[in-house]
Amino acid sequence: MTNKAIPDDELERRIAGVLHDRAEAAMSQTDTERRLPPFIADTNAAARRHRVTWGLSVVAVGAAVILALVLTGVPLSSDQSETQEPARDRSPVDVAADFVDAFAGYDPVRASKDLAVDAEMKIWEDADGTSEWQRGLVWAEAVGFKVLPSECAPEQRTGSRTMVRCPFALHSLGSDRIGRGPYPDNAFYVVVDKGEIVATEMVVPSETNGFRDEVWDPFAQWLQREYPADFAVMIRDVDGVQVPSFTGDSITRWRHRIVSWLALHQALRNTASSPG
Amino acid sequence: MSEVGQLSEVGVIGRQSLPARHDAVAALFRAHHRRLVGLASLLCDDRATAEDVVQEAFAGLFRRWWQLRDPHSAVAYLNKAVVNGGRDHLRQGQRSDTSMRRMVPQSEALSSAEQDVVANDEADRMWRAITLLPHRQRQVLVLRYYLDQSEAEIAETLDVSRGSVKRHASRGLAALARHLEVAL
Repeated sequence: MTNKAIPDDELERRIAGVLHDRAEAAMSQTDTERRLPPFIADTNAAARRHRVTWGLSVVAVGAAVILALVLTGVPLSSDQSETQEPARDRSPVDVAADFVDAFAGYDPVRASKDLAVDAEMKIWEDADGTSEWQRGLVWAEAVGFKVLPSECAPEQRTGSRTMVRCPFALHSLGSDRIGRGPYPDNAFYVVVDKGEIVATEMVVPSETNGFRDEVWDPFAQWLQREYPADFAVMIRDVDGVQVPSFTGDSITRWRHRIVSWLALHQALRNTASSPG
Repeated sequence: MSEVGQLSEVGVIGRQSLPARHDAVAALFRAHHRRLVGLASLLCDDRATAEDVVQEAFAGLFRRWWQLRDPHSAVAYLNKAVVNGGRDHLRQGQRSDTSMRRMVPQSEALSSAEQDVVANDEADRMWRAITLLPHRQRQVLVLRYYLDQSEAEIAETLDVSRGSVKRHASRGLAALARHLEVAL
């Protein structure tokens, strides 16, 4: 056996070849279509397990326990499952619509007035899953996150509980000022129980409704290029996912940079429309 | 079925409010599962573990779906999760390998390793050498020569500096070159 130097490019070619061959061998043995159904089943089960844990951690609060039981598929006892009259006069649709209206008006106090003590708020959360919806509202106002609501309608009922869907279109990051959007297909899902909101989730399909392609991505790329220091404060990277930061400093920068972004677009429009 | 039964089966918020998330993740699964198993297989030492790593990456994506904000973040998240997941499994594997080696007489272990190298063809020797690299060097070389990532992209994927990427790449290449020189 003799020592013989291998040229760098030859070594790199061989490494790439071996890696591609190995990966191809593994890929040829896997079956994506067979693995997808169990994966979907697992995600559903995991979501239920998560809610059981959450529910048990607030076991002292009756409403939350009932919510957890319903969410996790454990049947309610007969006396609990009987339909009960709402404690207040307003219908679940009215309660949900009022919440959305307050949210759209950036009014956390009014949005909170019908919330149960331990309402589950999946609107904006931090990296640990802690709800940040109230701070998120401050950010929303700063960046012009505008909710354009349509009529709410009940989706599902059981016992005293009603889930209401409130669809909305949205503008954000000044999209209305630069001639883009509004972006459709978003919705609040609000679960109302005896006049109280026990759970809310906001769904914004930004990948499919055009918002990410037309608004978020161009803004984030511009920000990172032109104002990297601000970018670092305003947008967190959570495992490769861009998440807006809701700290006071961040929100101040968001407000300023949205102004800069809109000014840039205005300047571009002026240039385009100027003669010669 | 009673109203309670219907609601219990569906889940009040879990499924009713998230069909879009299920559909989107399922579409990504169909589009990227196979490719990611290929990537994971380069960072783990067996295909079953690679499949698990990929499954965990998609589960993580599903949990964090609400955080996605830009078009490429889902794929970037999956790449990163697979690379990091592969590292974690590799570390666990290396720990158990180390324990096993301590239980085997040194000369016997070396003899067996040498026999493996001699017995396999050139590609197998190269692969064996790659699997013997420290995990960070292996990650860098896989990202560079399999995913064709730039130094900057590798630094971002691994959360390390570009200098560190350079260092690991250079050491990894040198180790592989030495290994092949000895084997020729």
